[in-house]
Amino acid sequence: MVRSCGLLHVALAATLLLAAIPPRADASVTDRTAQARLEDRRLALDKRTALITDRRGFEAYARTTAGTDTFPLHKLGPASRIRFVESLRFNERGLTTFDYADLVRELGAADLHRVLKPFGFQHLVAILPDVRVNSDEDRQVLQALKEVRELRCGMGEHCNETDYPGYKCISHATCEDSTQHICTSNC
Amino acid sequence: MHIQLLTTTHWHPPLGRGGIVRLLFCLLAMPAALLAAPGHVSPDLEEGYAAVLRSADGFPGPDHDWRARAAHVEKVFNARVQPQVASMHTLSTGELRTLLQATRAAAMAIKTPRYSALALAAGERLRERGALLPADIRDGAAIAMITRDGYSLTPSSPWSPAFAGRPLPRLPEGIRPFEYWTPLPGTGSYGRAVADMRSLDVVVISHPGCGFSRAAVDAAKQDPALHGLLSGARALWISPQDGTLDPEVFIDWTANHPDFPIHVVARQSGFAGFGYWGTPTFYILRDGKVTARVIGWPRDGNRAALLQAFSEAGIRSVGTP
Repeated sequence: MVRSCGLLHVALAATLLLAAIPPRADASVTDRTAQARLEDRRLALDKRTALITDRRGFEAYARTTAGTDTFPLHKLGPASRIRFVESLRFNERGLTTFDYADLVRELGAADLHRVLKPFGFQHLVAILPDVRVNSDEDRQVLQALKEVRELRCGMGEHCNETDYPGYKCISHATCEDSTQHICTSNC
Repeated sequence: MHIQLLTTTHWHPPLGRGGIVRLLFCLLAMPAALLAAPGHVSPDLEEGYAAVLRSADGFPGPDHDWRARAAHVEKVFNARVQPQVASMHTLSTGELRTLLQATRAAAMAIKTPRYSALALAAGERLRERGALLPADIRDGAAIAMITRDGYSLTPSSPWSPAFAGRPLPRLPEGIRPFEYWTPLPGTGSYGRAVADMRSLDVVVISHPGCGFSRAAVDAAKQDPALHGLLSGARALWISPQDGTLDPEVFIDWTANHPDFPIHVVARQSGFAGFGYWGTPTFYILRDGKVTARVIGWPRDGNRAALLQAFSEAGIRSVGTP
């Protein structure tokens, strides 16, 4: 289902608002907690306003944007593209899982952001390990997303994420280990 | 690009005798050029990798025991990928990478060290060619961890950079049934223990990175009945046999949730009766045997199902902590 929703504007506004409040090293705990909450709300909006929330929506969007840099799946090799597309799983909330093995090997951070954005999961660029940096644009994208991610980081490898790399959504609210898949919070 | 260069160089109509010789050379050279291309991957290997992925997908938990999936994936890997391995030295860089990915998919399902040895051989060849990507290194390290192959995790291993300067894991050997490990801070070592299943009421398959496991613990902290059932000496929280590279996530978790420490399973195959290792899964035990399981922790929790399963097993909460 491709949604053309007024919430998209709200999401955009929230993103701009958040960007205007950069995390500061000297920010008080209260400030940082408030920023983290705002970031959580923005992530929720990204998902609620996602353009692609099911397979039909994916196919329609991929057809509309074929060969463009808006949704640069064409930059993946043919076999990699097939593997990525076959790995996509959805439920009533949207994307629940996908295989990122080929994405991180073949796309830079900026193109990865473009591929994940219509699903509402562009923030994963900062979470997926070993994302490639091939250009200044890649560097800027990764740096911006990692700074925002630090707001909600508590500790360790998984950083208290609600999306779960190295695991795959199996059924509602349960994930099974599957290196190079991610079990999203939609699961 | 190779093909385009060859054709533009050698195709000069009209063809004379020399032209025919050049054309023949061109036709003969094309397959060789394709094989030599670093990114070239033979259709057999691509299809083999796809078949391994499909075979793993075809046996999804919780409806299938992970051992049944392992047996099926192993059969497919042996038939479709293993034949390519005999001639590993002839494989292109792209083929070695595809082999590594197919091996990762198999290792994830089957979890035996055979796949780690295979991955190491592919990784060493990629390193020799200067073609090892960070994602390959992480894959190799994850394969070694999943299969519990400590021999592949030496300082000279192609996978050692995946640990980012942390001590390399020193995985215990001679694993016993129902064994689990506890990472020791800053050492790469693990404490070992064997679960006394008859003394347990519940085993919770969980992971610090799993938001649903965290939600279950958050709920238990607010709920005396759940807290009583899911913590203490009669509850064991263990992670699946996965590819987590940083043991600190378990140490941090335990520091933050001391009533619900998550340990690391040594080998899933050592836990008879545990067919699904998705997180979170609550196995309710009676006299050491699984009597029920409750899977997942959705937004509105799974309290009622869990309390009912405990009740049916004759287990009552000891009350407030």
